[in-house]
Parts: sequence; structure tokens; C-alpha cells
Amino acid sequence: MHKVNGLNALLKTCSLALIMFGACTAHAGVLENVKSHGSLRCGVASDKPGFSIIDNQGRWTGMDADLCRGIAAAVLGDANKVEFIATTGKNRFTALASGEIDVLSRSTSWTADRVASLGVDFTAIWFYDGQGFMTHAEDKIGKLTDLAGATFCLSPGTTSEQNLADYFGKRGLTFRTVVIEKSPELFAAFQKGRCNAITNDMSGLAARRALFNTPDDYPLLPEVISKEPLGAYVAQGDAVWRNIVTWTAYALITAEELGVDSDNVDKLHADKTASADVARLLGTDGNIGKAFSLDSDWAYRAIKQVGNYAQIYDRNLGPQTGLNFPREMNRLWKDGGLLYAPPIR
Amino acid sequence: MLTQRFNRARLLSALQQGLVLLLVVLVFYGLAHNASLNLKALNIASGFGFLTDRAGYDISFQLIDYAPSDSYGRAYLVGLLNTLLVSVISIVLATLVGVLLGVGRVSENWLVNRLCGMSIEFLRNVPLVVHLIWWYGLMLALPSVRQAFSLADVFFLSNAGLQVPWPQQGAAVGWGLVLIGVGALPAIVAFKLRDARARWRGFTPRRWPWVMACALVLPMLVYVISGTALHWDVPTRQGFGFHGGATLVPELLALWLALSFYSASYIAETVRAAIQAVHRGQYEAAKALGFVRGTAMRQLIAPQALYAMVPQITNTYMNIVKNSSLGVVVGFMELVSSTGGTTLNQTGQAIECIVLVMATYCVICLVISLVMNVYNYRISKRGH
Repeated sequence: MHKVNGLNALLKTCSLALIMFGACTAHAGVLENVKSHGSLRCGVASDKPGFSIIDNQGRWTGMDADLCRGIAAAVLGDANKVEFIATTGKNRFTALASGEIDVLSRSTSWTADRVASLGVDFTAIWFYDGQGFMTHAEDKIGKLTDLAGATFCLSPGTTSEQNLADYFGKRGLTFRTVVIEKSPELFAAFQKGRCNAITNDMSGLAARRALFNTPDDYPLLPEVISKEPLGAYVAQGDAVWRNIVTWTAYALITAEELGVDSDNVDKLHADKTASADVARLLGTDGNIGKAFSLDSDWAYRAIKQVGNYAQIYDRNLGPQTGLNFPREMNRLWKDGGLLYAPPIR
Repeated sequence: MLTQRFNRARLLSALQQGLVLLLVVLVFYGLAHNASLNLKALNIASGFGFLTDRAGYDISFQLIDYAPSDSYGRAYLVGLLNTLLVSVISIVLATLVGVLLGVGRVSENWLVNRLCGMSIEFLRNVPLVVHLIWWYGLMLALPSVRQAFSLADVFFLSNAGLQVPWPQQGAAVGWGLVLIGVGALPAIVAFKLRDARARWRGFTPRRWPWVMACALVLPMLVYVISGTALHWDVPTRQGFGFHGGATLVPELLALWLALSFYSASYIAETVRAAIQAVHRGQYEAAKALGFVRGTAMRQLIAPQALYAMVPQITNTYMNIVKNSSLGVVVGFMELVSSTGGTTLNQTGQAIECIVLVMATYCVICLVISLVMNVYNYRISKRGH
């Protein structure tokens, strides 16, 4: 146990309830904790299809869940060594700051205010999203301003409450809200007609809509009123751990860019003639893994066990999932999307 | 002499109490200080400065003017008033229903007795959250705004809530006060006059018809005669909902009904127990003196039972206030969903928001406790 940076190290893993009593035990960094614990504690949303939800085999699936699996594979060598912990929009940051979870992978938007005042750090953008709207077909809403005076269903503790107020306030339009915490109840209230529209991140709306019996009765509006870069957060003050989470995400994106996937990764890993980019990614050239306090095979294991970004996307949001969420912004930069991983070298 | 008045024992006792108080204050100060140091070290913002920041979220039901451009402090006030509103109307309805059920429970009429008993058992053996979800489900099952039930095109009931006419802005408060004054003052005078007359003539006073006549009929007369002075804002269908009038949102209605009926069962049991706690000899004495059952209940049993029920009912009232925080389940923006929910989320200042909410509930409950204790003290002095 190091005693470097005494107070800081001591406080880093303090429980928020313990913050008041100061009875915190000293801890080493998160990486050592994860290793000694033998599993990664990953905070996810409990009910977001395509991102993190328990499937009918009792297994957590989704983009956010798979990011945690990738991190576990890189750090612990086994993608299954993840302990998923369901968090709510309200308790997610507290859980992270108090050390109850090691990483928060819960479709959480990256905002200045959160990193400035919540004691958390953002890692890498894992999914580009924006706030959208779903309406009732019978209301024949063509554009957002048609909803002046309407009632909106939304969930509390998200940026969507503010975005909506900003959008309507700027245009001098009135609106009403019904704020319900649990997603199933929220969407039920919308479907029963309590609200004229429901607003959330586009991905969240599309995912829920896919579960409706008659999705065509609930059209999505074309407008997207906000930027919601989603990704994993870690607690502030542990640069080693932040780097590991950030670069695991980038490694999976880079793998897609370089054409490395879970099927050919073994061959490329053994191939001494692979291109320099691929060799650096898979640790056969250079020593990036060690510099991250891991071993040189960190990215190889993550790609091998969970696949590259495209594979993860297809598995969770692709056409055969029923969600069929178009990649659009979430294509690679060279394909016209926004996914742009910094070079791994 | 000073030394005599503050003798040794009293001085020691005062010293001890002072020390304990000092210790408690120090502990709390230490906790607060420690928390603020730790928060600073964790790089988390602290302090109550955020209360003046722009809230930027909407609250669907509000008693005072509020817009998203108002501050978090104002949002707190809106949430507090919503909590108080739903608590007060729930306490009123729960007391009415509870007393009826409780008296019915000790009725000699077999059917009434069993019906009340069954209702009580059903209501209190179902968790409050289930009550709440059931009522809210019922509200949502009402027809949409377009097919709203309407009463004389003035009242509308739909899954957007109950629309009622409302006195026009500005006039409402003034007129309300005038009408209450017109009713209340003569009512008090009538009460006192009947009391005095009864005492002088030596019979049991029958005051309520007179008081009711003054309190209800007089204001109505004044209202009818003054005619057009008070304009009603009548709701009309417009766009997605209604324009004008006031809206009782389904979230409020569901919370109100759930809280009232759930708590009524507890009040009913308290009332039953208190009535049964009055000694049997009292009933027999009343019977022997020729009182009919109703009069005996009102004049003899109820006043004695009241003394026994006040502490229990105080508890129930405080529970109503605290249980109103379940509004968060159906999306009624009371204290816990506004300050303890959205504000907490947007500012991330969990400790401050939770402390604020805790302190507020604590104060409300202490006030209820104080008022009920004073009431209990007064009725316990009466007639002894």
C-alpha cells in the first residue's frame, strides 16, 4: 500500500456517507483494487435495451456492458470477470465517487459541469447521441414546434430536462412535463396518452420503441436538440486507471479501423509481418501496455474476447437485434462518422 | 440569595446539561467541517450557493409562479408548497374517511360494522406504493383529452387530470378572504351566542346548524347578490390540453387518494381503539340516564376517546407528510423529486440537497407534533 499523496489516496475511495464521518480506509489505486478484488465492478443502467439490459439467459448485454467486458479482459484477462451493478440516473455519480463501482458505463453524457464539480473524470466517447422526441401518430406532429403547449414525459436527473426547457424557452413556447424515474412506468405513461411526447436520448427512445407492439404508432421526430456524447466515467484523481479505461475504448475503435476483429486477431497477433499499426495495437511491437501498468497483450485480449467496435455495435444494435439502430454519427471518421480514436503509439 | 437559589445540585445539573449540549454541537460542527474538507479534497463542489443558480427545469404542478428560468431556491419553495398541499388535503380526507370508518367499526349494525372492518383490513394491509400505482393506473386509464368526461362543459376529467374553473388571476385571493370573512365572523358570533344562551337556559346547545348556516349560506348569498364581481376562468379545450381554469394533475390526484385512503385505515383503527378504551361503565351510565346511543357517543364517549386518540393520530399525520415523498413514484414534483431529485442531479450536491430535504421534513413534523401536543394539552384540561 503506497502512502504517496497521503490524504488524497485516503479520500479517493471514501464512501459518500463516510465523507461525513471521515472513517475511510486507505486504498491503493483502482487498478490494484480491481486486481486484488478479482473482478471489475461496473455501474450500468438496469433497463436500456442495446446498452445494458439482462437478456433472457440472465446475461448482461449491450454496448455499455461490453465496454466493461473489454476493460475486464484487458486488466484481468477474462471478459467475464465483471460484476455488473445497476445504477439509477440519480445515484450513479455518488456510486462512482464513493468507490462503490470502479467504472460508470451508463450512457452518461460528457458535460463540463460534471467533470468540474462531481469529482469524476470522463474517459472516451463510446457513443454519439442526441436528445430526440417520440410522439403519437394520431397527433400528426411534423416538427418539434408543433408541440407547443404539449405535455412531455421525461426521466429525472438527465440533461434532457434542461435541454427541453432551453429549447422551448428560447422560442417563447410553453410546455408541461411529467417526470417519472423508472423507464417502464415512464414509457407506459406516454403510451397511455398522459403525455403528447416523450423525450430522451435518441438511442434510448429507439431502443424502447423497438419493444412496443405497434412501433409505427409512435413516430420519432427528425429533430435532435442536443449533443450527447456518451461514455464511461471514472472517479477523479487516478490517472493510471483513467488511462486504462480511456484507451481500452480507443483500442476497440482502432481495431475496427485497422480491420482487426475477434476472428483474425489470433492470426495477426502471431504474424510477425503484420503492419506496424496492428503490431503496436496488439503489443507485438513497442511497450504501450506496460506503460499503462498492464501487460503487452491488453488490447489483444479485449479484441479477442469482446470483438472490435463494429462487432460490438452489430451484436447489440445491429439489424439482427431488432433494434436496428443506424450507425450514422457512430461510424468511423474515415466512413463519414465521428468516431475518431487517437493514434495508439 | 444567589447561592441559595442556584444550589449545588442545580448548578451541577446545569453544568452537565451545558457540557452535553456543547459536545453535541461540537460533534455536529466536526461532521460538517469534516464533510466540507473531504468534499474539497475529492474536488466536489460544496455549500448552498447553488440555490441562487438558474434551475432550468420545469415543475408540472405549482402553487406559485415558477418558470425554468427561476432559481433552485424557488424550485425548492415550489416543491415544499406541493408537499404541504398534498399533506394538508390528505390529512383532511384521511381524517374524514378514517373517523367514519372507525365509528362504523364499532357500530352495532352488523352490516356497517363488517363492511367498515373489511375496508380497513383491505386498505391497511396493502403497501402504500401499491395503492399509489393502482390509483395512478386508474387515472391514466381515463379517456384522453379529446374524449374527456365533461360536466356542463365546465369541469373536465381526462388522463391529463381534473380541470376546474378558477377565479380569475388577482381577484382570487382577495375574494377568497372576503368570502371566508363574511362566513367566519358571523359563524363565530353565532357559536358564542348559542353557547351563552344554552348555558343560561340550561339545555344542551345545538350550535352546528347555526354555525353552518353562517359559514356557508352567508358567503353564497353575498356571492350571488354581488353577481358579476367575481369572474370565473372556465377551462376550454385548446391544442393539446385545456386553456384557463385550474388543473389538478393526475399525479396529485393519485397521491392524494392513495395517501388518504391508506392513512384513513390507521386513523380508523385509532378511533376504534380509543372508543373501546372508554370504560364500559360510561356506556352503561349513559344508558341508565336515558341517553340514546348517538347522543351518548357524541356527548360522553367521544370527548373522552379524543384524549386517547390524539397522540396516535399525530403519528399518522406525521406519516402522511413523510409518505408524501412517494410522489416521486408517480412523478408528482414534491420536495423529494424537486430538490432531492432533479436539483440534486443537476448540481451533484448530494449532501446539501439531502440535508435540506431532511431538515425540512423534520421541521414540518416538529410543527405538527407541537400543534397536536398543544391541542392535546387543551382537551385534557377541559372539563376536569
